[in-house]
Amino acid sequence: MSAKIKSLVRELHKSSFNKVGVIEETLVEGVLFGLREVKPPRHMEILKAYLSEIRKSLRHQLVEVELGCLPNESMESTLKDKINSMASSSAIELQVSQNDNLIAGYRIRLVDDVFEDSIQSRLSKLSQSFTA
Amino acid sequence: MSSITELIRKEIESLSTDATRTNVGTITTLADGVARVDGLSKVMYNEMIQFPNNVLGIALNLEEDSVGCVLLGDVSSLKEGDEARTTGKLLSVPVGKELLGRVVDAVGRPMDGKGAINAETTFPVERIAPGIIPRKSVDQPLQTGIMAVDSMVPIGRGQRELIIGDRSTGKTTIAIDTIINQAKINKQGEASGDSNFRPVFCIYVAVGQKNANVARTIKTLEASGAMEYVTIVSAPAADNPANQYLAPYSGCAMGEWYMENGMDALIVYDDLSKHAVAYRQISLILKRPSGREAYPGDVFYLHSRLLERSARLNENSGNGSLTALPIIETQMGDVSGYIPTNVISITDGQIFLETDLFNKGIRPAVSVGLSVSRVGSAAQIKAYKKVAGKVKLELAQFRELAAFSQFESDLDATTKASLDRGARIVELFKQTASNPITVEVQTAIMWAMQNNFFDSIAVADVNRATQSLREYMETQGKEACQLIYSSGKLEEDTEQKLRSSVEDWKRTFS
Repeated sequence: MSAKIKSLVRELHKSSFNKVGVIEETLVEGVLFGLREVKPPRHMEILKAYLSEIRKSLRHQLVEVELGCLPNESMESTLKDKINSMASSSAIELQVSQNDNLIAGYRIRLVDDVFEDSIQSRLSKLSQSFTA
Repeated sequence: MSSITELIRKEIESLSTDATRTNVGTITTLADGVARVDGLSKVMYNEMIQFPNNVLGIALNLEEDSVGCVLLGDVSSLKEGDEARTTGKLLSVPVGKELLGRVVDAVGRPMDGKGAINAETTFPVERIAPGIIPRKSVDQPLQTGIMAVDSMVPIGRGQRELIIGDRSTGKTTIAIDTIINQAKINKQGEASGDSNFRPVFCIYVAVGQKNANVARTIKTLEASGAMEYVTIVSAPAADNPANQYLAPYSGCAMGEWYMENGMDALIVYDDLSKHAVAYRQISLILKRPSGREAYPGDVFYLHSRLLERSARLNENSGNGSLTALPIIETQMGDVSGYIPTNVISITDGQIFLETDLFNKGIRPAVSVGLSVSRVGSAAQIKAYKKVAGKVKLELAQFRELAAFSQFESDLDATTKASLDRGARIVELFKQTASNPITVEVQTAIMWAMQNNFFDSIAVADVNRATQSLREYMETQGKEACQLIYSSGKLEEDTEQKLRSSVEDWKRTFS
């Protein structure tokens, strides 16, 4: 990717955030409309790079929580409350889901970091200790 | 935004649980044994990356928005979107004497079907070479058992001597013969019960070779009984380029274990031309900028950091050594190619093998003019130094005179004598493969040549005479040989015994 395209994508990415630093759908739509109107050379390449940047930013706004059991309402609301109680948490979205593969325990993904304590992870550690 | 995630991270870390924290990423592209991974924000350079189905990778390109990993296993089970995890470990291989007699792959896994390798220690594949302080100059000989090499381009323990030549000129043969000779010396030394004897353990790294060739090498080593002192690291042509790139470093780590534990080791890299090609392939797929002949800019560093790890350590650092015999294949005898000149400048000398000599039946086809050892006679025992001192000059003069004498019909007596002597030396140096000669017998043969015992023998019979003298010295002339072996010198009484033995042989030779 050329430096020119890189800097253009960076600018488009910047303009997709609102004042509180959250990606807003309307702003993204505006960017896409603008691109459609202008039809810059290497339109497809720019769009792909833009998508990749937006995906990365969305990952920073998302906390994925996987639980071994079906999360009940109170559990989910406790987690949400905990996150909401943190400063300027409006930029963070919590996604709670059930993952049967965990058997029991939890798995939290925060950007590139995964915090895990589940039966599945313990079994895999045990298996690695036998095969190492 | 990042402050919020940091806040949550701290909250999780403060909880006292058995939770594990791993840094993950997602495969975005997968091609030719290289995966580009999005994420892995905390990855280290050269760190091992765990992919699904027990596939391992190494992080080689840490870019602004992605990580380029070379994959070491079966990549067919991986797909775009799969998760990759950091392991916090650098790639390591098993090291130690448990690897002797074994054939392993680039990451030290057994390939010979002889069961698991129960090595207690592992060494990282990439290590920093010993610095200036722990090093010592090379002064102990490493006998190859090949007369042309031991007399003209002597190799010392801890030296890096390049074996260079076109295809099918006997490069691997020289390396394998050297290994066989080490095994022979090791057995002889161990049988003598000498407590000061230092065996040389060998590592043979096969990079990008045909499996049939590797199998033939193993067979040769087994047939000569050398395999018990050898470890073979194989990354054949069918292996992925990542393994071919790693194999020399893995072999070097195995050799370093001997060096750091006060022992001597010899490592053969067969060959570094193919290693450079594998690295070029990886670099191009990783989209690194390419330079001359499409090799990446750090192709010199690729070999310099590998060969600098071979050294002779001083007494305070254990007195161990790692001798390297890298092999480079030239195209049409061109030593001025990119990779050959790089490796020539890194090593402490080279043995250049000529196609013309090989085709003329002069084997090993060592070129006198282009072969050199920067360690020189420091790596020869005194007795051998005394008898082989002038031979390189004599042979070089012969080659030069032989070229001119083709146009001259009338030659003066001195020129005729030089040509005569040279032709005899050429015949004397002809040696069959897997047939190394001990240093004491080599000394006796060279002494006989220097003292004109071969002058009355027709040039065509010199090679036969050499074989005959060798057999005689190994049987009836044992006493003189034993004196040379034990003292390492050619003193007056030794020379007397040698003279009487050679005279006895001369009477019996017809």
